Amino acid sequence: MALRRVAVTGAGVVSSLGTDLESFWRHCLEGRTVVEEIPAAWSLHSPLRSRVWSPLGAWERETPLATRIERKQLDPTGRIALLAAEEALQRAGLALESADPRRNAYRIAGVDGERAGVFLGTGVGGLHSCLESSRFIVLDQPRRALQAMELEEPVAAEVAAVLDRLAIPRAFNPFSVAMTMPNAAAAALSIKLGIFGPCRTFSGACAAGTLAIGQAFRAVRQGECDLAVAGGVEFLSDPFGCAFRGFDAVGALAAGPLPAERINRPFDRERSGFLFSEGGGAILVLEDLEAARRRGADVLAEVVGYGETADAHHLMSMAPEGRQIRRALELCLADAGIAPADVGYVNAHGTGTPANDAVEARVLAELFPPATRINSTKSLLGHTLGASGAIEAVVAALTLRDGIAHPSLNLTDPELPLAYVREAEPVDARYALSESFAFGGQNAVLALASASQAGTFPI
Amino acid sequence: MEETLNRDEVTLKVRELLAETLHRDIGEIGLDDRLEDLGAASVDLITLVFELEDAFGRTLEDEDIARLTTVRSVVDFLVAGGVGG
Repeated sequence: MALRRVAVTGAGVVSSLGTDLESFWRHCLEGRTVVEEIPAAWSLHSPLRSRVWSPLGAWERETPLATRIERKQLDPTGRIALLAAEEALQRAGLALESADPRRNAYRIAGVDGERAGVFLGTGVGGLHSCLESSRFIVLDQPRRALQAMELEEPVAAEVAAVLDRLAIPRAFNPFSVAMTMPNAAAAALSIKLGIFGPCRTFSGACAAGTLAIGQAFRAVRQGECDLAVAGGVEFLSDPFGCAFRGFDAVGALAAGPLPAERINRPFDRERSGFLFSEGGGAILVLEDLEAARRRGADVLAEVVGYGETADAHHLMSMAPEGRQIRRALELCLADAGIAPADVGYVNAHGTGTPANDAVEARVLAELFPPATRINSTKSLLGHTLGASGAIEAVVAALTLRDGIAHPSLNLTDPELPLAYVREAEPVDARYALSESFAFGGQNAVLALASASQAGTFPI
Repeated sequence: MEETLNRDEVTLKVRELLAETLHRDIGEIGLDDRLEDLGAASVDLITLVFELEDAFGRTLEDEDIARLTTVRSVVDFLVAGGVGG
C-alpha cells in the first residue's frame, strides 16, 4: 500500500497562555508569559531553591463530553485531554453527535470510529490523583485522632489551623485507580469520542507528546488509521508541591537572583533551569490528506516526517555529545525526504537547563544553516513535560500557517550565534521541525510542511 | 447553621443525583423504581453513594449500601438518619 500523506486539520490547546488555540497563539506572538511565586504551602513542606512556577489559571470550562460527576472521576489530565480534543475536532470541522445518551457518549460525525485512533503522551499520568488518594490515606487517621483529643487553647486552635492547611479530602475517592492510571486520559478520549481503533498512551516524559504525534503520523501514513486524535497532556500541581520538589532537588528548575519575569531564559548564558509549569495539553487531529481534502477540510499543516532515538545513557542526563539527538534529526529529515537547508524553522526543545540547551544548540549549529530560525516555546510557557511536545507541534504548525514566529523570551546573550527569534517576526519557512528530548533519553523529532506546500504536490 | 431537609427535599435531591449519575431525565426516576431496573450497574452505585455522601454529609457503610435497592429505600435511609443540606 502506498504511504498516505498526513494532514493536521485541527488543534486545541489548554495552557497558561490561553485555553483556546487562537488566544494561545496570539499571546505567544505577543511574547507573554505567566510567572508567579509558588504556592506558599509548598514551602511549608519543603526547603526549595526555585521560587517560581507558571500556573494554568482558570483552565476548566463546561463541556458536553464530561458531566459534573464525570469530571469528578477524571484526573485533570483526562479533563484537559477532553477540552483540547473538543476544540481540535471543532476546528477540524468535525461535529460530535450523540451515540449513547445513557453513557453520555459521542461519535465523530462522518468518521468510521473503527478506523480512528487515539495517541496520547503524558509524563506523569494521574500523579495528581495518586497523591490526592495518598493524602487521604496517610492523613485521615491522624486527623481523626487529633479531632478526638480534648485540647485546650491555644493548642486546639493551632491544631485546627494545621488540619485546615492540610485540606484532607472528605473520603477516599473510589475512582482513584481509574484516575491514576496513565492510560486514563487516552481511554476517556476513546470512550467519549467513539474511537474503536488503537488507543495508545506514550509515557516518554518530556518527549511524550512528540512520541504520540509521531506514532499517530505513522499510523495514518501507513493506513492503520484514517484519523488520529493525538497529542499530550500533563498536570503537575499538588497540594504539597511533590513534583516541584522532585525537580527542584536535582537543580533542574530556574532559580537564582534574577527577577521572576526574567528567570526563564532558554539558550541564554544566564539560564539556570526550566520554569516549572502547572501543565496543560494540546490535541491535534491528523487525517489522511486526501480524505481531508475530499471533505473540504482546512489543512493547518502537513506532517511529513518523524525520527526517534534513545540516548541509552542516563535517566536524568542528556548524553553530552548529542549524537542520538543529531541522529533523531537526521532520521526525521530522511523520513520527510528533505535536507537541513530546507528547514526554515525549528521549534527547539529549549528547556533552559544549562546542560540540555548547550547540547541542543551545538547539534543545531552543526546540522543546520546559520539562517535557520529557532525559538523555544518553553521560554513562554515553562515546561509542561509530556504536553510540551504536542503544544510545540501546534506552535510549529501555526508558525507555518501564518509565516510568523514567536519570540524566545529573555534571550539576550546566547552561547552560540544561532538565528534565534528575539521578537515576533516573519519566517519564510516551507518546513518546520519540532524536537523533544526526555528524561530517560528518548529523543523525538517531527517534521511539518506548510499547508500551501501540501497544495503544490500532486497526490 | 446546617438546615435539616424534609422528606420531599431529600427525595428531590436523590432523584436529581440518580438522574445525573444515570444520564436520565429526572422524570424517569420513580420513587418505587428499583435501582437495578433504572440501569444502575455496580460502578453507578459506587458513584451514587459517593455523591450521596457529598450531598448529605453522611458516610454510608457497606451494610447500609446493601439495603439500598429502590429509590424509596435510599430516601428512607437518609430521612431516618437525619440529613443536613
